[in-house]
Amino acid sequence: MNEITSTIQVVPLEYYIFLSVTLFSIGVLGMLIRRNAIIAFMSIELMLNAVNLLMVAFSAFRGDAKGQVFVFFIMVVAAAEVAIGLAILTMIHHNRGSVDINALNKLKW
Amino acid sequence: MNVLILISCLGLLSLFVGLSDSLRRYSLQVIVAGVLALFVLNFFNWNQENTRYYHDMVNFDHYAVAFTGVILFVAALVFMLSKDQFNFDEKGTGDYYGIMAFTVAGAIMMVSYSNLAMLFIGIEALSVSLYTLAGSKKTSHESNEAALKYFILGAFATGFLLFGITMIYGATGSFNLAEIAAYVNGSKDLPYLFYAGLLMLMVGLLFKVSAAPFHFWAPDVYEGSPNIVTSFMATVVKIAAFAAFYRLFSTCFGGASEQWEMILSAVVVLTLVIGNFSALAQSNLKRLLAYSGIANAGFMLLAIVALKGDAASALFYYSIAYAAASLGAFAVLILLSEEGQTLSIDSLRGLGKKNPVVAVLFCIVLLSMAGIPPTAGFFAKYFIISTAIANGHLAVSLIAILTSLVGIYYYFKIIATLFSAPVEGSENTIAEKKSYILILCAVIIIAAGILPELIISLLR
Repeated sequence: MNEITSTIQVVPLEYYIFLSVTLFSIGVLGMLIRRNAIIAFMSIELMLNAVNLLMVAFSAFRGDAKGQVFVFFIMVVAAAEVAIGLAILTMIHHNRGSVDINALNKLKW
Repeated sequence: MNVLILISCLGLLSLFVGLSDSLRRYSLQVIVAGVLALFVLNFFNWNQENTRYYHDMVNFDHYAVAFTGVILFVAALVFMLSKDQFNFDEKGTGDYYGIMAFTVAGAIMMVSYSNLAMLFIGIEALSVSLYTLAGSKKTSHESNEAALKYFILGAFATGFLLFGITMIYGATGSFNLAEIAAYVNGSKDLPYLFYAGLLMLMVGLLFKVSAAPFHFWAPDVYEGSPNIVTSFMATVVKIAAFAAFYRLFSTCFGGASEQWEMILSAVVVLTLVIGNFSALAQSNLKRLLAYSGIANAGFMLLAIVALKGDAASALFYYSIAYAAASLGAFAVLILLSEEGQTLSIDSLRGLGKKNPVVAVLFCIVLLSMAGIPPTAGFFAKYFIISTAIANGHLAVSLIAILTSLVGIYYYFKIIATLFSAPVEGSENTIAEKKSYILILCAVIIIAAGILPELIISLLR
């Protein structure tokens, strides 16, 4: 544990923050720009993993295990969420034969 | 705490009841009896000496117990409303109740957390179950679309929420609400990391409570989901989300209020204006209720802006009044859809003649939504606005009053439709039907309107 922590600390904390923010922004942009629902899922995963990375970095720099435990929660919940999301997508593909978000335009004001 | 465990067990139980062909027709009775039993059991948690459980993960203080009570009661009413909505001969009917019970478990976590980890788990337990429920009409394109929209935007919001939690952890080194509060109150100059985290956390929560400018998913999801799920979202879920929001901001971020007050006030104004003015243009009853829900969200956010003094009890009273009124409205909606009506406002034409009881009760519900005394809706708005003014938020409060005048217009438009003459040659209203839930809601609205002190003094 101590060895891993010191290895993580070789890189300064700011770099982890920059990297995570960049990854998170790529995820957000992917969500907003791409029209394929599968890509949208991947973007969501990217956002959550950016969070995981940052959480582990903070946790290592503080020498505090709480953050790493939280990462496990995020992983479990993300897995559950994707399972539900893929089920919804399968259902939509079954009914319409497409997973393009633009094709979903029944509900509008 | 026992309620939290038992509601999860109840969910499992209804899954098993739904499995057996002979027991399935009792699934409704099982879940209603279970939830009502938990509602009673919840009273014993009031005034306990030890309120913190699991190494300070949850804290069942007065606030948590009171909101748990409301959530359980409203959930029981929603279950009763679902009586004729499901076909109990079909396999999988028990699943609906099971998943709804898990949603309630998530809601209870959201009102009782004292650690950001529990907040996250609660929100996710609630949301993941709701994604499934929104898409539960499997062959309907609208329901599919609602589920996917809700899922994508909900997951997006979760990302922001988590990023916020991470940054706050980075700044304060803790997930515990009390420790974060001590950090906020103890240091003069909070780092930028903390403010960035606070902002992200706020964006995530505003998404979940459907406040403008993050509200656009709500009307679509409300319209596409099955009616019973929509009534669940509009009441139980919204109350839980606001209770969680208020709990977080009042315990942790009260010390840094000058930084977020302005932003949140702007959000309140935007939500009230967009909610009320968009509702004016709606002809579909379900979408109108969605926009009125957004307008109500603006009011409840005002309680969070006020934060101090009686804000908690004002929020509590508002959520009771709001839940009773929207459940009443959804009861009418469900009666309409059982008659095979379209859910447009025009299909209410002539209801006053065909079924005066339902029309008058619906009228009471709408008066409460509009905020006319002596209904509960009036006192709900009054308490929130008076708390906000007492804490120096005069401008926002004035806008809240002005926009609720707009609200009165569209609620009265529905009342006028109710009592207007039916269109020639069409049998388009609910005849001879009664909804006991509607009666109960009207009684709650009137009772809470006559004796507001009883409820408001609970959390004082």
